[in-house]
Amino acid sequence: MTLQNRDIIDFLAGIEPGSRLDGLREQRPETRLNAQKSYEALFEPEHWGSVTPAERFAAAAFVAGLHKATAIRSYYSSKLQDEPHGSALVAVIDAEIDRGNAHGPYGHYPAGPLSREDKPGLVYEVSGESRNFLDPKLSAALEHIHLLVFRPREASARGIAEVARCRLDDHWHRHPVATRRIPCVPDQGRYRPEGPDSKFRCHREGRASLNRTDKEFCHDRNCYSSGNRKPAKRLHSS
Amino acid sequence: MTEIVIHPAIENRPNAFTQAEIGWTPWLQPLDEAELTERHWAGLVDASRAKSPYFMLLARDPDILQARTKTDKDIFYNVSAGLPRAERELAATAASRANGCIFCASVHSRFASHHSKRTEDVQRLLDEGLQADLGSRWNAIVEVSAALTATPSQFGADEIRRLREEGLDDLEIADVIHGAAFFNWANRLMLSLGEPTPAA
Repeated sequence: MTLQNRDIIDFLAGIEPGSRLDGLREQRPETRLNAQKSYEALFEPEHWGSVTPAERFAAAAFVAGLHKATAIRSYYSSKLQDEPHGSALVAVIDAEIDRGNAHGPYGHYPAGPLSREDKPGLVYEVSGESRNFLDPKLSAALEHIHLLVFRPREASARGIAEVARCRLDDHWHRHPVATRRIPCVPDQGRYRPEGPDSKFRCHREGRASLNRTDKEFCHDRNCYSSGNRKPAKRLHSS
Repeated sequence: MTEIVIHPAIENRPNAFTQAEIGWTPWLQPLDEAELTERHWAGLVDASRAKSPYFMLLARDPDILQARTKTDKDIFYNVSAGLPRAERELAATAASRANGCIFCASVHSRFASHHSKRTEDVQRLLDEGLQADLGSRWNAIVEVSAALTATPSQFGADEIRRLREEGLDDLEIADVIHGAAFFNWANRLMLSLGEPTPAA
């Protein structure tokens, strides 16, 4: 794809330079520019952090699929296809899009006068089969994404805690010999899982990684994604 | 890692749509002002946003925050042409009402009331929901915003036609789309990163 004159929205929506829609977008230049910057921050970031390219493209393909946005789904699926285990991941996401089919928004309100507007709907869970292939982090991500897409009003602190727990479990799964002093702080802009010869500092609690900011803040979530990782039995999305 | 999640104990948590000045409290730790680097300040766009726990939480990803905020400002504050400000806020309120974001709806319904002076109509949108009869032009903006908020989207040529019949030109129609679309993003951030607190 060339985006020299066209941004991601032009590309996906088929907006040609010089067309009427191009002229319309031109009248909201900051909107146009920053929609593109949002895309770049998510899908072409300076640092990938702890969310791998495959995980990002899988998430995007899943969201597009749930929206039945065929062209956008194809775009992100093709990006996912190019990642390690791409074909298998695309197949899993395709199956999960079917499984997650729903019409939103729905969900429960906090108890009170709005309860009469409560609308039940699918509380999606990744299938057992897919769960066997995906690492826990991506499974948890898909379930949270489905909530965000269809029933955002049901988001809760408990749900966020659950996602955070899966992320940690995932780390344990990948690094079974690591001690529980898991989250690491950057050393010269690099993260590595803790090991006997590591040259980096590790905090003793998960809290550290969220309470800390430093020059490498984009690595903030990057405890899992760098080297020394041994292939696990299960298919990782990275 | 559950200790990174904040579980606020809130008495009288808002459970209805309102134009009152309710608050919002995060479930994840915002940054402290002392932690901000130049890049964070750039992400915040306006230094005053450092007083907001919401923006200080979003500042954990400053690049996205900066793009988010500049998009927000252009969609809602760039009034050199296009849809009147009140109706951009109406589109934001309608999307927030449909998704169920009590906090977002409170802020933007106040803005819609302020700019339109139609406080009672705005209140009926909050009280009665998307079916409230607000007059032909406002009904169209609310319906179209709701169609765009549905997943899968129910927005199409009929919705464009509906707005055109109300006299909206291309840029005004694009502004309705932007206002509703932006709040489909914002609602999900505010609903999933924290919760509303009662008015002081």
